[in-house]
Amino acid sequence: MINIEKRTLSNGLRVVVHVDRSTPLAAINILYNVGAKNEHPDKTGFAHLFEHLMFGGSKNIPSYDAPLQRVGGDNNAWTNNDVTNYYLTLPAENLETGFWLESDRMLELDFSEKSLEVQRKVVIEEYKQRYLNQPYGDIPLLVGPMAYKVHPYQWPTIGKDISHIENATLDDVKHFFFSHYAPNNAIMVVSGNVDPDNVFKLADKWFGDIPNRNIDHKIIPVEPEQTEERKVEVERNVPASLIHMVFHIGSRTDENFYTTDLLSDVLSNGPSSRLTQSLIKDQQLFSDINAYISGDHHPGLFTVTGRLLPTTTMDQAEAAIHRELNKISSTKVSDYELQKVKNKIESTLVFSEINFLNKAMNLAQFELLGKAENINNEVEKYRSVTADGLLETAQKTFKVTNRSTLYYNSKG
Amino acid sequence: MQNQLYRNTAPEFKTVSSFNLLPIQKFELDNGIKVHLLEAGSQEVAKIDFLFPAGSIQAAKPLLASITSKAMIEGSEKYSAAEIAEKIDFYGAYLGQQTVFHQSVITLVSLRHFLPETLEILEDIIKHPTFEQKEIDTILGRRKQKFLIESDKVKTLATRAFTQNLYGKEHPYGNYVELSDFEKITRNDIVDFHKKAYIPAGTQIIISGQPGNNIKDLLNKHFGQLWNSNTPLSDWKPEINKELNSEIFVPKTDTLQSALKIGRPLFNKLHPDFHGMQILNTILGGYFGSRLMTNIREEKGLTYGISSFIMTYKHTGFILVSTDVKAENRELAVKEVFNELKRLREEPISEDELTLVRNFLSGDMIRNFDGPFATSDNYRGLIDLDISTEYFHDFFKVLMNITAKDLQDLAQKYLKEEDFITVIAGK
Repeated sequence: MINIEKRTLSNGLRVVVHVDRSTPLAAINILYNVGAKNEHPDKTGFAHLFEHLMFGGSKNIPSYDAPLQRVGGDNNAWTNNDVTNYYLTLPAENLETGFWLESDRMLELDFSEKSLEVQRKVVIEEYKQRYLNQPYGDIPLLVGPMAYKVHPYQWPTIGKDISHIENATLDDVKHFFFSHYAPNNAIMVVSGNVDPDNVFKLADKWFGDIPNRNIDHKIIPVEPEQTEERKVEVERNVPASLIHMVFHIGSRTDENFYTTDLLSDVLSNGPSSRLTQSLIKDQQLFSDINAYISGDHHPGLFTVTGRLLPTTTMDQAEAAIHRELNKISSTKVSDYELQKVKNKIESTLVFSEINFLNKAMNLAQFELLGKAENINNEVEKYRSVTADGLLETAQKTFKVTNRSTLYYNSKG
Repeated sequence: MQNQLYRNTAPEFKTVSSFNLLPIQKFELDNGIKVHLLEAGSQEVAKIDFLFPAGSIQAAKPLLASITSKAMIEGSEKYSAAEIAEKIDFYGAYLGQQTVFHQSVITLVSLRHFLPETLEILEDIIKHPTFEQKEIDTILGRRKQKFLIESDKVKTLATRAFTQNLYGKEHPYGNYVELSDFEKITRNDIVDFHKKAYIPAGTQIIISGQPGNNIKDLLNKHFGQLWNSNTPLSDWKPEINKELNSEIFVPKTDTLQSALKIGRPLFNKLHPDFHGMQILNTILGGYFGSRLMTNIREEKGLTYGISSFIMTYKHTGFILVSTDVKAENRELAVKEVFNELKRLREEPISEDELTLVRNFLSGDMIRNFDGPFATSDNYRGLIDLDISTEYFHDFFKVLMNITAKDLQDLAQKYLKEEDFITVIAGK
């Protein structure tokens, strides 16, 4: 049971506190409700570019990192389709430094040509390092546009085309900031060795006078139901061929989320899972195979991806995956197997409650998607999944017309 | 309304002035296996690391140690490979293996109340693995493919070239593996190595978390007997290459970025200058605000990331600067790395920067030792050299007292341009 206290400031900032006395440290996690899906199709990659710009100094503080390091703190951030998440940890007695830094960059960034120019270059190098200079790195660039025809999930967080970053102007950047970065579009979670009353006092002091802003709630197009099977085939200079299949599923807040998650666990969570035992060990067709779901805030994807052994043909690989998906769509999972994946999830949830920073990040997500307290209902939701539910979800998900397949062939 | 806010003034803060470590209890099993116990944490979870004298040094043959360790959990006398996987998953537990130079580590993470069951399975895995040929073949096939994929990355090619230059192709520290090595591993090698290396003598156990009061009895029940009376295989010290190549180029044409590794041989953790060098390395490239990150990423935008680190092994170590840059920026990046080394030699670090790094590192120590699991991971690094936790307190003392002059002396001693080796993989 994770203890939670929360308040909402008059400017709309939601503040959640979780006390964990087992650590001398504290964490501040600030989640902004802006991700790649909120970008305009001709200006993609901005949410992620912002993650970089947010470290380039703010209105009253020329450098973000140095003052934090000076009080023993450390920080980082990440961006995905839905949100941009910033976090820091520091000795609990220096908590106020974190409030000072985070509130100033929520108030206003120090928009400078120099910072933009450098971070443009850094992001372009990141694009090359992650997507182009890595074997299999371009898979997200190929799968997104195949699965999504209208929804912005079609582009990766780094952007649809790197020219969008190359051409980003200071005006674009300012506009993006003031229409997405705001107390009324953010959630702050403070966890660790802290006193909730003190946290609320500090929140008022540092964040209280930041004005709320008009958020750009542009209409995000709904992806129409897929009605035909899709395929893309490429050839690349990689050591082994790979097959990557995706199916449309519901969103993170869909009631069916827990069933879909356990469906992916039956297929591939742990060494005893079906795909590992059948396709790697018994049939010896793949060197690696995985099934997972995206957990996106809008309807997401169920992915099955595997790397072929040199003796396996693409046809064999595809047929073998189809056989496993047909099996789980036609025969009910046994009580034992269902219990196994539930046990596994329960212990994963116990492990995830060890670290105070981890808890802060999770609480921010839960608060955004409903309320932070829901984190304590997770086990119950997983426990109530049934074998009938799994069968029904498998049948609905693994339809041919809901499938997109990437054949990533090795030249070698 | 409240008092006026001064947003351009940093709030008051406290510096970390002491360093506390969770207490570590030590005891021995009936057969002499040393156990280190860090009992703490709010969750009913325990992590148990078994450190066997079964690393790649003891194996003295490429791949043998890691393949043996992987193959162990693929079937034992009582349980087939599938049954082991099935049971471990059913108990919500996790079984991992890691082979390092002087040890192979088998890690069990388990909810406390399932430890009797999970340890019973682990006992059979460790004492009676069956090593079926089919399982060995599967592991070799997967491992070979991983090796090929890794060999396609410029950063891997550059790191390998660096360590081979330092330690040669024979010694495991050189990290030299070739494709034909995959054909040379036989079941007999594995069975033989297991018999000689997964033995009570020289094995140590580190437990962290909440394993319950009866953990000593449980461990004695499953691992307390003298199930094998062999003594550990011999150690093997590397001969450091006397004539090092100072520039190495590994060509790879189909690449957008080149991997750059610039480093020099150093020493292990026992050297009197080691703590000071850790601090100097932090200033150079060991944190986000480091000199290299500031110059090469934040000011020039030449790369997504650049860092430096000190790697230590039981017998030696090295310091290495590492980055990926596009080919046309390569020369400038190399030049700037050497400029930063030169600045550290020629200019004393300012009090301001030294204070910042001292405070950052002391905060980092609290993070690295926050809770039983983080502490045990760091503690594990001391086992090779049989050093006590005084080592961490010593580092903290050096951190609190080191001066700009000390750091400049260290730079003049260890960051001389002519001692560095530059490796480039790519274009």
